[in-house]
Amino acid sequence: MNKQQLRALLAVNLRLLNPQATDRLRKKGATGKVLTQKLTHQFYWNVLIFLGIYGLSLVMFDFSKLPGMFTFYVALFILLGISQSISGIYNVFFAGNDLVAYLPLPFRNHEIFISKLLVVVLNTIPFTTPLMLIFALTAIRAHVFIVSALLLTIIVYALILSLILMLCSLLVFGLTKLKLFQQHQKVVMNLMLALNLILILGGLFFLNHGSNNPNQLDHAVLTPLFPIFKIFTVPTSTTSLLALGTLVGLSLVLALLTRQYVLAHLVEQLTLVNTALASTPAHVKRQHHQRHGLKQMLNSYQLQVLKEPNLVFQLFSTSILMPIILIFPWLFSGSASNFSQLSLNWLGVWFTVGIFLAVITVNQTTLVANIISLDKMNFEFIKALPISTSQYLWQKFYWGYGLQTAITAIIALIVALVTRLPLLLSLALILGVTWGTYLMSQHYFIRDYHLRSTNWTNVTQLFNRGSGNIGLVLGTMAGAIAGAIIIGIYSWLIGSQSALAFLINLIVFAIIIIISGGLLWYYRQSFWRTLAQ
Amino acid sequence: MIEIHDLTKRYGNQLALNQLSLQIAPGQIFGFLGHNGAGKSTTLKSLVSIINPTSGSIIIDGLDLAQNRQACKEKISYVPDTPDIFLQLSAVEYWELLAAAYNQSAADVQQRRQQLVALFDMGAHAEEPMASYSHGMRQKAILIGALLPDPDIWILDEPLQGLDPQAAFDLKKLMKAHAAKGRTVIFSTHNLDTAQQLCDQLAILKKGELIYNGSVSQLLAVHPEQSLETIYLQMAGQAANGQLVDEIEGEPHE
Ligand SMILES: Nc1ncnc2c1ncn2[C@@H]1O[C@H](COP(=O)(O)OP(=O)(O)O)[C@@H](O)[C@H]1O
Ligand SMILES: [Mg+2]
Repeated sequence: MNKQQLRALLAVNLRLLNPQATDRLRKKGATGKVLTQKLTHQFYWNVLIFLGIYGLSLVMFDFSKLPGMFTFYVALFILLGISQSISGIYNVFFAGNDLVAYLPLPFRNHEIFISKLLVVVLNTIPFTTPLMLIFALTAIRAHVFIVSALLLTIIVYALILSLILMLCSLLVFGLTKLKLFQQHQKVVMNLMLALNLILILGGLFFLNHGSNNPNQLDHAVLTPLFPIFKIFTVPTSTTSLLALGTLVGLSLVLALLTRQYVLAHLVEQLTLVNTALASTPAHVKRQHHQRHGLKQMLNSYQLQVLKEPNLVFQLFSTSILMPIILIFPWLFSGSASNFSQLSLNWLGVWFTVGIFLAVITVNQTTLVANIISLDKMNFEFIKALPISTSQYLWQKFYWGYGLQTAITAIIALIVALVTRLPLLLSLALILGVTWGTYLMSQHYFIRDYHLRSTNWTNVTQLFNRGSGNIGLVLGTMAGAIAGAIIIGIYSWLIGSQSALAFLINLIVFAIIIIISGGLLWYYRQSFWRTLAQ
Repeated sequence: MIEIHDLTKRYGNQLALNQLSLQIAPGQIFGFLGHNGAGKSTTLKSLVSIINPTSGSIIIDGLDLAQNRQACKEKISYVPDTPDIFLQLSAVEYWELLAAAYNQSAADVQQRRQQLVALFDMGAHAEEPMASYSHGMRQKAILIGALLPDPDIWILDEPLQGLDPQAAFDLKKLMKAHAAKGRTVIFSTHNLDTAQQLCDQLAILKKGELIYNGSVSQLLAVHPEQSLETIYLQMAGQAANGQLVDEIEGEPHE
């Protein structure tokens, strides 16, 4: 392998992965090697932050005595890893479309592949590092000699990570070989991303289902992962050695398969896919409708932009992932999961829960926060046309808001079903979601307007605008913590002062109205009115 | 020596290029001329491995391109039809990537880089991301990237697009000098003056078909007393357009 070429490719992909950080560092005068180094540091920070967030909750469990909990969390982070790598591979290899720019250059297949896969790895590692924490904690609590504990942790983690990556590469690239795929590329790609989403949702449900036993402290053990538990509790047992051997064996087999099936035909395949994805088939003619006035025509244009389905799935999957990560541990904590007996006094509480659900769901990676930028250059051009910009943007906003609400409402519905919430309270929850999403969507829509980017090539570039990944995680955490505190206090008041419930609900309602009114007035004054003149 | 044999490219049902066969000898500037959508970019992209032709073959210096991608790519540098690539990189980073791609260290190409940067006056913003550049600046940055490693064959898809007159003039001189060294320049254009100034050999494409392949002087000799524009429009143009223009704008008022 040619080190110089690989290094150059990696430096490029690092910048492509972190455009915002890159710009920020550039403004501070960082160039060349220094910039590359600083970007690498950024990645370490991401890892630390994820570790910090999960570390706090994971440290509390003594996994060495809770094999069910161990396998549950291991499965959870493996699922996250798989989902993250599938969408990463899709993003980096297919959606980015920058491959065409590499094709004429004399890079070798495996150099392009490795440099891109490394970027996928960088994207996946933060989501899976908690695995290392779990492994190490388990081994240390099980009194395994500390050096062996750490060694085992690193080895098993590396094996699992490479298994995940190779499996996902084989899956995605295997897909591109199917006849079906070659005929209906866009459809199959979207199906894959949808399946990815279903995989993680279904996986989480399955995990939840297996553990729904309130009498027991521990979750049910997931048998296939139990040998991994053994590795860290009794490393010298036969099961452990067999498990380690299996992991190594599997990695070798997958490595061979990857070499054989992915690497050998990479460029041919990607050229095929990329050129076909970039173009609409020439013989598919759009249905031509009679003109029904400007509004309808713009509406149909908005829909066309949204129909770029790769983007939409990408946006959906990111907007669903975050809340799931935050909400599911709470749903699984046992005590909180049955609300079938709650009275109507709790209407306000569930409305508020809905609002906070919206607060943590709507963020810079969601559809409504990127919808103006999806227009790319078109938006600047439309501003030059004799069309009212504010009307155009309202229309766009409602598209984004509508879809956003639908997504968050689905999450709310899941929460309501899992917790067996009574019908009216579920309704309050969904109304809360609808209203909260409206307020949040306005904020992020306006943010997209101010930060809008017209020359992005990969959606992740849009997600990373502004404060970037760290800001996203911290913001969501802050929202979740504030929500937990407020809802905690509110619930405590309703629970302990049921006689005053009506009064308390009234006060909260008034507060919500005042805050909402203030926000809406602010959005109107600071944004919508400035467009109207 | 580049040989193209029966090159065909289909997009779905659409035939973008039909059975194109021609040869390009070294020491030449070879121009592809044609209307929008004639198949110029499709041809050039096949030469630089961006697209796989539906059928046909390309032989570069005796090597079959489909079998020897790496070796062939090392002989070629390419300027794409739109310069909007690698926008997140600064021009300097882009040039470093290009040098590395052709296995040349930053030190190897340093002198040439300085000369090219000075020639195209790109010193001032070279450390800024190309996303912030104007179209012409991007074009210059991409051009410098392509000229930097200096392989034998230059393949330039409408390279003069967006360049200021100074840069266009200098690039044309560079192209001539490169060919004069016994190397190859292949480019596409729909500008007839450019074609006439530069091309040793010319291929005219119309809707994916090759309708002329030869030198400019031959073409002019066959149609004496006519400008290249008239000849080209007779061959590649649409007969009814003269009347349509009259209908659209009407007769001039006095
Ligand atoms: N990715 C693509 N998908 C479908 N059709 C394409 C694609 N690229 C080019 N074409 C079609 O092929 C024909 C030739 O295009 P091109 O080679 O780009 O023409 P030009 O001579 O202007 O460079 C055009 O009719 C164009 O519509
Ligand atoms: Mg073209």
